[in-house]
Amino acid sequence: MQDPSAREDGLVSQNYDTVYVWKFKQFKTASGRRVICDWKKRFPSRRRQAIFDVFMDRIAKMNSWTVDDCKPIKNHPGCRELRWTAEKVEHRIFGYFGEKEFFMMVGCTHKQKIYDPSSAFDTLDDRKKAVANRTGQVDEYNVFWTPKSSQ
Amino acid sequence: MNTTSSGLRKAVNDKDYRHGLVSAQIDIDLPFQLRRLRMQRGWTQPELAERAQMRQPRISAMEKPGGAHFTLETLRRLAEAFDVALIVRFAPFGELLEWSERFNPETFSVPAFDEEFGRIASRANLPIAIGAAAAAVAGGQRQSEEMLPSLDELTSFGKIVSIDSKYRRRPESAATAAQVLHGHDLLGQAQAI
Repeated sequence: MQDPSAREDGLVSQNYDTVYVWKFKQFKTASGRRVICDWKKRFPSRRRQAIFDVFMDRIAKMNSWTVDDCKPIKNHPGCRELRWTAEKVEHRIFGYFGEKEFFMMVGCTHKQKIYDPSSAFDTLDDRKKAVANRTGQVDEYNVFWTPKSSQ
Repeated sequence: MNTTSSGLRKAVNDKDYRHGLVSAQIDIDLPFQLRRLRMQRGWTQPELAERAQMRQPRISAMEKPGGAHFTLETLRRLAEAFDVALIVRFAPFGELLEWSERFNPETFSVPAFDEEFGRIASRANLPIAIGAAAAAVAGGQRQSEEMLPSLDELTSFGKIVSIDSKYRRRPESAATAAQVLHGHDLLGQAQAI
């Protein structure tokens, strides 16, 4: 019997858990790439993925976030960065708020004042503009969502 | 089992991932809980630092996910500052998964000892206090205020079900209820629970 949650693109999707207060959306490229899922897949260890998943799970269930969790980005009005450290590397997701939603545009790391990718800020601006102009798309991001290829 | 749970339980088949969940308890959950405990008590970071005999920048770092390295001694000092217990032990992954699946931010709130055990003591003593006061009223004896349950005891008890409906547990009504009780008017109506 076919899994009713299976999608045509081969990813196993999950319905959003009702205990979550916040929903996450991620930028989807023209070729269909979900940028945060892809960024997470490229983490050097599954350990780091687990820490990321737990971070997202916890903040998704909090009624409000502090400025330490989600800091405004200087020179990028309306944009925020989710922040956590895993395996001594600072991780960031750049995005912006919607109505009880956080739109994630790009993920990066930050070590000794160097961002990786170095174009993260430009990418944030470009993608945010594309979403506003409806030339770019967003898709849902589910915590603990595991693409079939990673299972 | 909900779909989020099934995703998590699938992922733990990978050893590196499941030990990442253990790391996340330290890197993510501890900072969030530390912040929650501090704010639950209405303390600033400097106030917590003083109580834990640490410096404020260290408290600030510890409240950021992955921002600081925790030692057992640090955790012990923080537990003492908050006057809560600290449980450190190895556990099966099933227990960790279940906890994670059931997590909500309230899970991080922990009452201090006085709040936890003080409430239990009040619950045990309050019927006796009310009964004694009611008996004294019936006997026409004036009671000193020290013998009557205090407003704090009444309001923390949380079960003033039998006081006249006009004096239900709202701040102004609670004060009125306490005054009236101390004036002996409604003691006869307060039933031991």
